[in-house]
Amino acid sequence: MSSEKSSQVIKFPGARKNKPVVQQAVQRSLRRVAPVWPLDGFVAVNPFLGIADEGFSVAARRVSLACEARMYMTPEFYVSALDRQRVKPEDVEEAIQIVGDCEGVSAEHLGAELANGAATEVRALPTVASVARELANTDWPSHVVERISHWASGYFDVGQAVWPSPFRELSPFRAWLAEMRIDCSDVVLGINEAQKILAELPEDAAEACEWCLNRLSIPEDVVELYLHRLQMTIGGWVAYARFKSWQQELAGSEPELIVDMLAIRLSWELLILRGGVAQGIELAWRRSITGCNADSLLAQPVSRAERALEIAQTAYEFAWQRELVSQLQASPVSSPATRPDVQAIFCIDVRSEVLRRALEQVSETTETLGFAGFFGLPIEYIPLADQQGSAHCPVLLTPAVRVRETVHGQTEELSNRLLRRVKLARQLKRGWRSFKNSAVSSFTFVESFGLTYALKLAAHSLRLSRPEPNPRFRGLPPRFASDLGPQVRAVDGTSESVGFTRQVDFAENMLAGMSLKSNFARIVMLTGHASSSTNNAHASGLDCGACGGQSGEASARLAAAILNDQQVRAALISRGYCIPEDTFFLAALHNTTTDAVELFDIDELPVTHRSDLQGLRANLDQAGALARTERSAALMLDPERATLSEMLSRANDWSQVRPEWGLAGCAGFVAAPRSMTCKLDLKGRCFLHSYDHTQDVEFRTLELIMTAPMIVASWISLQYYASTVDNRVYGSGNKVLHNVVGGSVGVFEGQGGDLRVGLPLQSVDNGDGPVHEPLRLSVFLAAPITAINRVLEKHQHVRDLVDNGWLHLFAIYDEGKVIVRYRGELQWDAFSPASVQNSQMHQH
Amino acid sequence: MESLLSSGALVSLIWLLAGFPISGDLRTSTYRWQMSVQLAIGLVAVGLSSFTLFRAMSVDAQAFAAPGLAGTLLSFGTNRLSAVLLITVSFIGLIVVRYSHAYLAGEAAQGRFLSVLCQTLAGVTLFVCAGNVWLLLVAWFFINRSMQRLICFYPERRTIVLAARKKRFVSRCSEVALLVAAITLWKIAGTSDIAEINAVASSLPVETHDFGLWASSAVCLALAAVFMCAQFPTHSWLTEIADAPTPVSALLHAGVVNAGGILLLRFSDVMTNSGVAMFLLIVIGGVSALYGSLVMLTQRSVKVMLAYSTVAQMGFMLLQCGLGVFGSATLHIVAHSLYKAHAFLASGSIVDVARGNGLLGREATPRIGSVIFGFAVATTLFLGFTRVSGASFAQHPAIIGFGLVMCMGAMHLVVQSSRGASRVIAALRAAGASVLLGAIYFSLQAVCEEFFEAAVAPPAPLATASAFFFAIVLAMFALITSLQWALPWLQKRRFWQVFWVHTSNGFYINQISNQFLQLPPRERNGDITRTIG
Repeated sequence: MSSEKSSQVIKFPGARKNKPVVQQAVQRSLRRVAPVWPLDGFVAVNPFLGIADEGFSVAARRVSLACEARMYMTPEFYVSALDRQRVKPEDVEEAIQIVGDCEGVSAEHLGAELANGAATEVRALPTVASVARELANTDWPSHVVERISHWASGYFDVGQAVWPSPFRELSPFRAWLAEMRIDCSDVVLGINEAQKILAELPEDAAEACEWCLNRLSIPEDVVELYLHRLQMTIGGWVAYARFKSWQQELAGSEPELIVDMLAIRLSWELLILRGGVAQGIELAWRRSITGCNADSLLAQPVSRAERALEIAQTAYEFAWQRELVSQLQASPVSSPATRPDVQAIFCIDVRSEVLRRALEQVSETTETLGFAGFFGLPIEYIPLADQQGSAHCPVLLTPAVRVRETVHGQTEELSNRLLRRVKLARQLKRGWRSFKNSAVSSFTFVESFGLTYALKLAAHSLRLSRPEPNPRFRGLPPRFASDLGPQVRAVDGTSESVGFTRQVDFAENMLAGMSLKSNFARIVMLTGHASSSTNNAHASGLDCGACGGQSGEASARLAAAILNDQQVRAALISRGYCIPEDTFFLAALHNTTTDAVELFDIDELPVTHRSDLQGLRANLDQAGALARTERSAALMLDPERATLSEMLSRANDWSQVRPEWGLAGCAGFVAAPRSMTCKLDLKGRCFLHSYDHTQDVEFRTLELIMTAPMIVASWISLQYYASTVDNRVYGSGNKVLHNVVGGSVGVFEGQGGDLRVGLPLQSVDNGDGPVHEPLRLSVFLAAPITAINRVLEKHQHVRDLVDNGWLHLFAIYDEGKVIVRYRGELQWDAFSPASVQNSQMHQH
Repeated sequence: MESLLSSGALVSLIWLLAGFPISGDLRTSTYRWQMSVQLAIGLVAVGLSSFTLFRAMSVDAQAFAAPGLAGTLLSFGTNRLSAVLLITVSFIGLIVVRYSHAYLAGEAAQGRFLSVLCQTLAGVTLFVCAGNVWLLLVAWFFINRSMQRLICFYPERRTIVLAARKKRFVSRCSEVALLVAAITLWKIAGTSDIAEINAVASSLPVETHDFGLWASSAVCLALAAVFMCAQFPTHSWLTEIADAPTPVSALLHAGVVNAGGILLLRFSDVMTNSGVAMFLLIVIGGVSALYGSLVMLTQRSVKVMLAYSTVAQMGFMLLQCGLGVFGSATLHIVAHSLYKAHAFLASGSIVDVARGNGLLGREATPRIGSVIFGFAVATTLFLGFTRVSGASFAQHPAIIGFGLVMCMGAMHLVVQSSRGASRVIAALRAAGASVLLGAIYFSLQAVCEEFFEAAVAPPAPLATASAFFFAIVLAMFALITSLQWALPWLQKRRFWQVFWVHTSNGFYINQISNQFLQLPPRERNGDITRTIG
């Protein structure tokens, strides 16, 4: 490390006022990094959220400049898919037509083209840190990440550290400044001028950004890309800051925390540039950054190798679409049923498809429907004896009502007493945890109670217990566990539970949303879903995404209670929904790990429905067994071993890194009446939303589907896509190295580095290769294209997604016989019938 | 058979056997079959360890000390101490092996990992029951080598390469120290047999020269232990081991770092002879205990927090050794191993704690009433303890001192529990728990002292300097304990803000050592850790 005297450092011209161009570039760069949700509600996010306003291939170029990320699989992956006939020549031909401008890449030469292009990779834009690495032979980029991550993990910590940061009340940038002015790392790292630079920095984040940008002399047109690049070097923490500011952004304000993060990263650039870490760094930096030109970098003609990858990926998707389309077209349309015995409503989640199909197979008289698993109830659910809860709704929404958890079947006095008891138990537990984890007292703890851990080790290994009890039942005596449930109406009439008119509104929206207007069965089962796994930091990622990464139980029970209410039903009649008197709504929970279905509040079921319940239970058991058998192969189990007890023991295994496959494999989204798909084996790869456009008079439901469930599904599919194609940037890496940060903020892979976002490698890969096929979502809507176009025109962000190639859109006509493909710019094409027939021929 | 090999040596052989190469992965029936065999072998090791303890308890410890090929390189010493440690290591080993079968499923090198894991266990069990210094030395080398292989399971990760480089450096230091100690002891005691060396040492007059050969070998042993136990300031590799798979951390923290402590226990008579060595242990152990527990409070990732906790716990254990309470140190080693193995293997469950609002760190300052009540409870406990045990500060300063630490813990429990709406009931319940805690603590201490009476050296009188330094450490413990109640107040004081920043950086030890053992920067940005598939 050289420690040059500052007198020899070249000075750039002093402060100049930033031009509006630069300010706009800064503003644009603030939304480039997608947010990441913390581990206590780890919902899927589109990792390309900030770049979806661009075409897929342009975005691919942008991310490779910003962080050397890949947006396609490796060429070998596609070559192998071509070799295995997983992708057929006609798919490639069609892809070439669609992608266009292929510079002579032809179907027969695609494999060779891919193999040749393997070596071409785009290098990321330089940063001062990376220039310093070349110059000083010191790993400055890693040092910067390490230092910022050290600060951020302390600042954003929600309770891992017993002694938290004293600066966490300040804004991020001010907190960072306060810490840096004390921190001696700069001395250890040899940044001699650090304290002088820090003393001069403006306290305000936006001003500090300007201050640094002025001194870094970035060419105007590169500013945005450069800032994106800087953010991606600490992408995990920027994503977390973006999550923190997400709520304000929903309300339309600027992501302020990102300015702070940017200011911190820019300050580090300045520290390295002017801190005296390497001789001649200013000159070297100027030389490398002025050589960059954003227009030429981003807009230079796409190379043949990139084109080939784009074609291969598109063809890969076409191959899957062709299979689905031929299935849809060949599927016999089931006759409109007479009144079914049971209508089972499941979440649109792809895991529901397997169980729904099994249930229909077991029982002819059961009809299944798909609807978002929060049943349209945007609630904040407050656990027993807690003050605050978590949102049980998609992250696109803000909760409209607060619902408390309560213990049912208790008098007010008893339940108050129970509440006190629970609170006391929790307080004592906290005291005990403090005793266990504090300095000094932990010595006593180990000597007195360390030996008992022999029993715990044995019990966990034998899958008899779990390291931490289920958070829901903390402090609650076990006999009351089954009585826990949402409180529909506030006991004392406060505004916290759901008011009557609201209940009626919710009921109407729910029924409209799932196109359930008539022909109600005797039992309508509202099925939420949740997973069960032990010692799994990413457990909430397996829970219901529509419920904000929580269990769907509360939403299902609340929905059933509302729809069973006689007054609500009476009010619904005036809105056109006539629910027969003998229809009973039954709340249920689908455990996606074990495929068992738990039923709730059955004591409220009328006596007349007892036999229906018995039949339903038997059917659910059988269907569960079928679903488990189907899932066994992917779980590396023999089909005959895939019993409920085996699945339960898997869920209770504290060493299990793949309790279930979650939504891996998701590829399609179908919004259509179930009659179009109920004879198809969709292999648990499709989101199924029930939708009947003939009931949707003003296409309001269509608009809702396209702006909410479809977006959420595309987020999920893109999260799996990104975590599969480039787990280094978009995934959280290897689970066996995961180190939970800040209590529940996220994970490090190992002892430090940047916060990791996205899915663990184990969630998309089984050791032999990806289990998740990286496909952009194919959306099939059984609706008129005029109506779809109208929605696209109205909602720019939806149109961005489809026009820029982030998902494929299809419309279904004539009960699945005619399918048309969206080609962009509100234009539609017939799905090439020749190729479909071709594919059908291949199937036979 | 018994004349040839002790059952302790058999345990070691069994673990070596369990490390047979495993092929395939969890999906194949051959793999599942091999897994069952491996677990069965591990179970046999645990069973045989228990049998060893049973035998060691039924036979007079001294007479049982040196079966095997006595007088040759292959002699083994099995007594109560080594039997208890054998059980602990084998049990934790079995748990970690079982855990790794599902946890590392899909890793290409899973079979190799399990083999090396079992080999490490063979090394540790050999170390525990080796009868002479040469075998001990071989086991020590072997543990370090195979641990190094486990740590570098992902050699493409730069952070782990750096940590492994530091670990290698520290291991070499400990090996040199142990080698010097072994040669010196062999020369001056005229035998390489550990039991005989201890016998010779204990027959020496108490006040020998502090700079003689006995003393220097004791200092070398102490240094070897300090290096192995990741003590301040050589601990920085330990906090970076989180870049190896979780089971490696579990095994390392539970069965390998405490080898330093085991070394001291096995040479306890040699140690008690040297006031200098004991003082060294008190200083390094005391400083590490203070350092580790302070830095631990400020850490934000669960595995690094646990690593600093290990530094502190090992420091506390060495402090116990330095004060000559080897029975307590044995209890600490065993209890800490079980606790820390569990803590690492269950480290993903911290999110469940967070989901249940169970995280700490945002507590208000406790009321003065609960502090007074806590103090009263702690004082009562202390008085009760001195009355029952009959220990006095003049005669048993170490026992009294550690009793004080226990009372600080009890007071902390009462103070931290007495919050919320029903704090009076909570305080009473916590006081009840403290009494129970005290009873468990003191009876365990008494049981251990008696149980290991013949296996380790009896407490020696404390030198003035040692007593003085111990008193300082105790005062610091008391200060840290009360500081934790005053956190909300500290947060606003400039001095403590500055202190917090330095503490959260571990006083820059990691960074300084990184500068010494720096690696050339990598070619490309980012760690590519794709090894699955």
